Amino acid sequence: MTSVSDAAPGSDAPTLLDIRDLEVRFRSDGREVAVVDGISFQIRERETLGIVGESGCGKSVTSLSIMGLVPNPPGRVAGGEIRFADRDLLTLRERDMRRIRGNEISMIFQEPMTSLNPVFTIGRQIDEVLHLHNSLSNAAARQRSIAMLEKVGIPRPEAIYDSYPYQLSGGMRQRVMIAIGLACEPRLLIADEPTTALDVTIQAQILDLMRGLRDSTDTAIMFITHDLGVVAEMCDRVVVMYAGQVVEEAPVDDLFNNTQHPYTLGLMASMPDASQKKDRLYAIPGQVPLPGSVERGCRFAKRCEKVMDRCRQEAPPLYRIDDTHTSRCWLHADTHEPINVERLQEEPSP
Amino acid sequence: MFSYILRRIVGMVPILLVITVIAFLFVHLTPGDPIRIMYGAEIDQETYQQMRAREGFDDPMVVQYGRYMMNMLQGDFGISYRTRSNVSDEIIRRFGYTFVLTVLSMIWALVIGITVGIISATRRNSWMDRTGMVTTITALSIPEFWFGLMIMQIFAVQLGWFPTSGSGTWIHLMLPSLTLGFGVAATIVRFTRSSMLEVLREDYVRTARAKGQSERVVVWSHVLRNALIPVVTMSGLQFGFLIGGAVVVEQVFAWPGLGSYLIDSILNRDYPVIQALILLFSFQFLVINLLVDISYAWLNPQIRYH
Repeated sequence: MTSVSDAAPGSDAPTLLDIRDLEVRFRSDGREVAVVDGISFQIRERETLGIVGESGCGKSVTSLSIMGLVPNPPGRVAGGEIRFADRDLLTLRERDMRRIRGNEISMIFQEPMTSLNPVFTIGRQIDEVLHLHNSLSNAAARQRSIAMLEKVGIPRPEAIYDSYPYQLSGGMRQRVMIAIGLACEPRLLIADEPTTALDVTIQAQILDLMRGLRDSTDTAIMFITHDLGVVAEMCDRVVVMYAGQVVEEAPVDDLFNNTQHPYTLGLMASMPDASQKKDRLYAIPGQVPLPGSVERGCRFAKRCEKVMDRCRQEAPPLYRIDDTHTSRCWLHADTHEPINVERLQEEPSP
Repeated sequence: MFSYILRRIVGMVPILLVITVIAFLFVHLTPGDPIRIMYGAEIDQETYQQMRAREGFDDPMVVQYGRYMMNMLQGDFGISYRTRSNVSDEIIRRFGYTFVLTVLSMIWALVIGITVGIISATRRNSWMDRTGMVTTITALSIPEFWFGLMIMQIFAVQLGWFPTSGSGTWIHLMLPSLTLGFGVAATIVRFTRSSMLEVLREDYVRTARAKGQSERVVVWSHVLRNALIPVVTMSGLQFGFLIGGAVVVEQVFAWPGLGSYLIDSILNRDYPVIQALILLFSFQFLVINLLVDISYAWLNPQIRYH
């Protein structure tokens, strides 16, 4: 169960999504703070990328930035680039962005219970996205919606087509959300903690479904989760986020077998393991600092078991561990080369 | 849906029965002797007794109630003490006036209320929103009779655009209906606004946007449909208050509806009329509540199927 999918594309697949130095700021109590603070990563076509981190790391805000749905006010995208299939999404007009949403990039959310409109039938809600991006007759849309319901494993799809969300369980509703997300055969599907709100058995079913869909479609998936077990099952590569920054990025096997960053190690240590019965579950002490609250030094310093004097003074750069693996920690200072991308881009300003 | 409506109508019967008992007892429990009101305080004792017997006041209460119910079911609400005319005829004649007035007021209130409410919610904290909020607070604080007199002064007396009072054409209807609808519109604005703001934060609104839906459709379809559910309930209750408000407004604008009829009857202790109007107003309230519940069920699928 833990092995990475064989369908993982080689590193030669073209880049689909390229995020560079993305900065998203939110205003609260008259102060504007960076919730996403200069993150960069890429997703290749047909790849499944995991984004991992505790709540409040900026994972969801990153995904909403890609969709152009950061609530404004209080939030705004303050800098950086989001290139998707050779277009910079941040400079697109709203009209053009609307053609991408639900069509080329779609998103499924954490809360299946509240993500469907309670007053419209399931069918109408799938039809809606089909009508928005295709010129279809009502009958044709209905036919495709029912086919989508069948594809996501919903029994009696004709009957469910005419039912209302309240008549469906959480797992069924998440299947409907996935059907909506995949209806227009998007090139990228953003799944923001799609199983977090579900029972464990239902979680497994939804993950199974998503794995099957990942292998049978050409859709790349950005899978946001705080569960490393899910990452091991689903993803080709992983980006670990902490307090609005990328702290480690690696192919999934590397991340587990050659973990570099103390935060990633902490996340792994806090995973429950059924084979080893421990008295107490490990937990990383403390909590994610509020955006803008760390004035200098490493953002993880306060909670880090390997903290050094330097960590409290200077923020560490990303170090290149190998071609595909990076980590933001002073531990690598003597053994690896830092990546200066961020520095170089900041310098031209006087 | 049909059985739901049927159940609601059957459920109205016991409430109506209780109301008839209250309306019936009303005449017997209020001070003032109906015989003396009808025939004057000066009649001698013998005539008084004769009249009492003739009007049936000497029979046991149950018999009187039974007779009252039998007459009522045949559409006979008795004879006005004051004018000696048939109460039902007078009510039928005046009902149309009040009906047109309240319905038009409600249309004003809904159209103005929901539109301004949506604009306020979607442009939250803009100058339009702030103006709207100040106006509604003002509207809610002003008594209807004063507001009626003010717009009568401005639009009828000074500008001469509308007649000051009376009835006959639709122009006569404008000032009274605006007066009556204004306060309700203010309530609906505030209610629609807060309901919209609440729904705009819902996850399914984000889902609709994530599908690539335009903001216009998101607001007018996804948000409004959900935000209207509580607004409908509240508007129904407001419609009940509107009937009460009509009593005042009809008096101000000399509108010959049921409201001014009620005031005249109270001033003259014309009990059969008051009795009939109590029943009618209660019945209207029940019917409005039924209509509210039906539209509520239509808007909210979860109710529809239970």
